[in-house]
Amino acid sequence: MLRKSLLIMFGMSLAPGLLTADVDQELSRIARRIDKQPKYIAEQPLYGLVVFGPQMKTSVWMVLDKSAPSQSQYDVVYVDLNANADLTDNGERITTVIGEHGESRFKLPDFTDPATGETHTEFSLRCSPQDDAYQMVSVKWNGKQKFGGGYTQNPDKETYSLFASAPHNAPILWLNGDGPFTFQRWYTEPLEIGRETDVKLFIGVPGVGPSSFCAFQVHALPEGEGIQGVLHYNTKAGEQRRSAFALMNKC
Amino acid sequence: MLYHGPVRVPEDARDGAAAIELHFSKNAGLESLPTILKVELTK
Repeated sequence: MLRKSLLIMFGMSLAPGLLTADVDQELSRIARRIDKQPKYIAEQPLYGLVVFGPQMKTSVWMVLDKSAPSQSQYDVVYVDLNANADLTDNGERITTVIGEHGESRFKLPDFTDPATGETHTEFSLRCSPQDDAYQMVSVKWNGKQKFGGGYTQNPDKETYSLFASAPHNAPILWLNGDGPFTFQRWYTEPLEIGRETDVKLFIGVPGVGPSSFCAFQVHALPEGEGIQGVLHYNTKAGEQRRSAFALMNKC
Repeated sequence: MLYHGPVRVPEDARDGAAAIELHFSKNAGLESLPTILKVELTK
């Protein structure tokens, strides 16, 4: 919707092929339902859904739990490693040790996507301390490049991805290192007229829910390549103008 | 993991809503979806 209105505002035509709006529609169709769940110890388990691959065919639930009712942090995660929506299968309860400052990282088994046959290594879930809570998922995509999320656009105003209190409103984090890709800004400060603003972008794919963008966690483009862009703006006289730029720096 | 660089807004631009259209070059080795992000121009 936003894309369409911007295109109309600046007199641009719709490009052929897959559009970001189509991707959003496909993501919204993914069922957020778990067929079989274990008996949780935590009063409030937390739910997140990870979807793999360019076709979004494989859904892997993650549910954070506690090893004891007295435990203040989530130190258990159930991960649907065979993607069958049954979290009671053997080997799907994984524990970790909570760090000194309340942070935790669940090291998960390598994941072979049944839809593509690709194996993604270094599968992990990172949780922040409870007073600054967020959960982030990462893999080494096809054993090659780190890819994960979810990232916020404005870290000063909102946290990274947050697992939810029920499956139906769980965030969907889409891990897809095959593309096609879109972009998300890191800080969305206004651009100053007559000046240069340093614009920073992630390369990745959208998800569902706040701060659900997943991105390459390495510089994925070949040396010497960057992101090409065009600024579409209106002049004070009401004319539509374009100004090209290239984002070639890395950080 | 971020790509960044200067985006200059010309002096004759009007403040308010604008947009940036983004894509990879042909040699990038990655495919991009047609992407347009809303931006705000300010004086």
